[in-house]
Amino acid sequence: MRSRLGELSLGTLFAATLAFLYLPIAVLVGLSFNESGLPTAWGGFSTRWYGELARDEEVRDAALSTLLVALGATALSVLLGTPLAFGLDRLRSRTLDGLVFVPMIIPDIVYAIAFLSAFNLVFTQALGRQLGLWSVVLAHATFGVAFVAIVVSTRLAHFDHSTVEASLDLGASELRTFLHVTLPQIAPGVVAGALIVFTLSVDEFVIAFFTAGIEVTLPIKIYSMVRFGVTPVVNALAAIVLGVSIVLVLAALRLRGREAHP
Amino acid sequence: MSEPREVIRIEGVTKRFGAVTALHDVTLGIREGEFFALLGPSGCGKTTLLRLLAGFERPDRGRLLLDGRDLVGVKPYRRPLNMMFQSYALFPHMTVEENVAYGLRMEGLRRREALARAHDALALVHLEGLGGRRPAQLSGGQRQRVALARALVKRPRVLLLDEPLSALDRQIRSEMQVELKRIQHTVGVTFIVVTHDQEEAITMADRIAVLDRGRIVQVGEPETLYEVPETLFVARFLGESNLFSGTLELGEDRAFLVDSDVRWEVDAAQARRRGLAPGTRATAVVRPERTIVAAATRPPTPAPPNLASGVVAETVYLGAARKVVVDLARGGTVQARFESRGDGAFAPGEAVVVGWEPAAAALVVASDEPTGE
Repeated sequence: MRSRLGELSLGTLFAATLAFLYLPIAVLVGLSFNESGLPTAWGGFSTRWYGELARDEEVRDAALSTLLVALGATALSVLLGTPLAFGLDRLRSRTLDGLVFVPMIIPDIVYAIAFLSAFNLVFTQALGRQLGLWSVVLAHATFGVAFVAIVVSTRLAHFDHSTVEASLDLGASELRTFLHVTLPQIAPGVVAGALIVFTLSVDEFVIAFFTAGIEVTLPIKIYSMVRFGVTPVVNALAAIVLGVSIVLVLAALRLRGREAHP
Repeated sequence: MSEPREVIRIEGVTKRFGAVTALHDVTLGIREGEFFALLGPSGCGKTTLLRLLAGFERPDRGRLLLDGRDLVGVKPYRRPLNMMFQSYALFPHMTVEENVAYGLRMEGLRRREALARAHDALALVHLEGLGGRRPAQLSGGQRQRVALARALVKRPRVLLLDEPLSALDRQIRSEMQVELKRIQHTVGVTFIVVTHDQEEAITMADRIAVLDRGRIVQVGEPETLYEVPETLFVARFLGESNLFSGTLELGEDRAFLVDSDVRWEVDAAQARRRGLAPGTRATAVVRPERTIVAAATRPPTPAPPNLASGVVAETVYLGAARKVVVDLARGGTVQARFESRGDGAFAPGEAVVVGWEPAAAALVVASDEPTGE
């Protein structure tokens, strides 16, 4: 039985937890619209810092680099992760499942160091190639493959494989069966996986910092900007990244949650 | 009258999965336009046979001929056969009419013409007006009809049906049995249906092949299988039966199955037709409706040659019929079934006599079990 007092204190706790979760974000977004640019004084609502941000070429370049890395990593993850999910679904081995999903929980810093060593050994020393955006793409795709594989696998668990046989039986070749029957049914899973990878790649700092060579991605740029204190421009930039991430994650969740039989 | 021509010929087909032999040297012919049932318990190989015909599996040995042409090695999508899946396997991302039109579209038909023919097929299965729905919005019975329409719309030479009614409620199932017969009659396509339900096979099929552990044990019309089973397996799989075993004593015009204290008289001509040599162990299979039960005080007249005394163990009222289970004094139980007409039923514990005519029994090679079920 719950008393009134109990309900009240539960409500307070809930509000406090929400505040704990979202207060820093609220402060960030609030300050990004602060005309004065000072963290201590409210000078009125303004989009001034967003304007400045738009004129900053280095930020624009970094944003472009991040976009390229995210697109590349996403494409690679989907191309490798989707067939991987089919393979796992067919083999039904817990060990293999585990092997594929481990990259998702390996700490970033460990991965970062590992990539740096491995890339230096293989590409820089053996092939004479400098690290750059391509190495960030490879590194991000490594954990991206795991995410795509896991999301597509959940989708495949609800996939009726007899629809494939039905399609073959009705006169469709293997390729047409994949295009008309298999792909449309797993597409929401693939897109959801892609959105997750894209989001993770866009704001990934540690691995990118270690593997980008002299290239600068957006998180690296932000890091270099805050070394001299948090400027209002950084607040604006962070708010934009936040907005984009929220939209992508919500889209991914929606697609993932949709039932196999709509 | 000449035999109708065969549309499918299965010749010496063997299929193994690892150490398991799913089909063992199966030979079978299926006639043009017939409703053919593959009947057997789960794991008997009937579904494997269907999947071999559809092209999802490849036989290890043997040939599968369709109109004289060997199908082995032909891709499923190049075979003029269509299958209705047990799970229906409808495409969830397509509407009902898109599902039905799919096979036609894959043939290269234009969308408009494919949809027009899909509508005709949906009308055939009484689903007019539901073309725009998704499979998820349909009841089980409706989905089953969509699956049927989708498989039939391409006018296949042979329609393969894998346990088509197993997912339906009892009520709809018996309706659909009649419905499937009607549709088969309308379209004139050869149907091969896989089922484990003997009642379903008997109701729908023109001919039945009974399978047991990868082998065909008997092929024939439902009546033949029921009345004249050739093996004990067939006798027990199709309907209920009472079994009376003994060593065959074969005279000029009389024959007996002798078992320690009893001599069951059986049909000598049938024993000869079956090629049962004197001295072999044989079993007489007597169906419950051909088994006579009478109160011990009022034995049947004229008395059948085979009589045994017993006590009523149980009576079951089945609506149209009444079943009596009798424990025989010499051991074993016997079931009898007769129409219920509101007249006196037997009471448990009542002393009765059980009898049967030699002509009522089908002779098969014996099992080692004693009298009764």
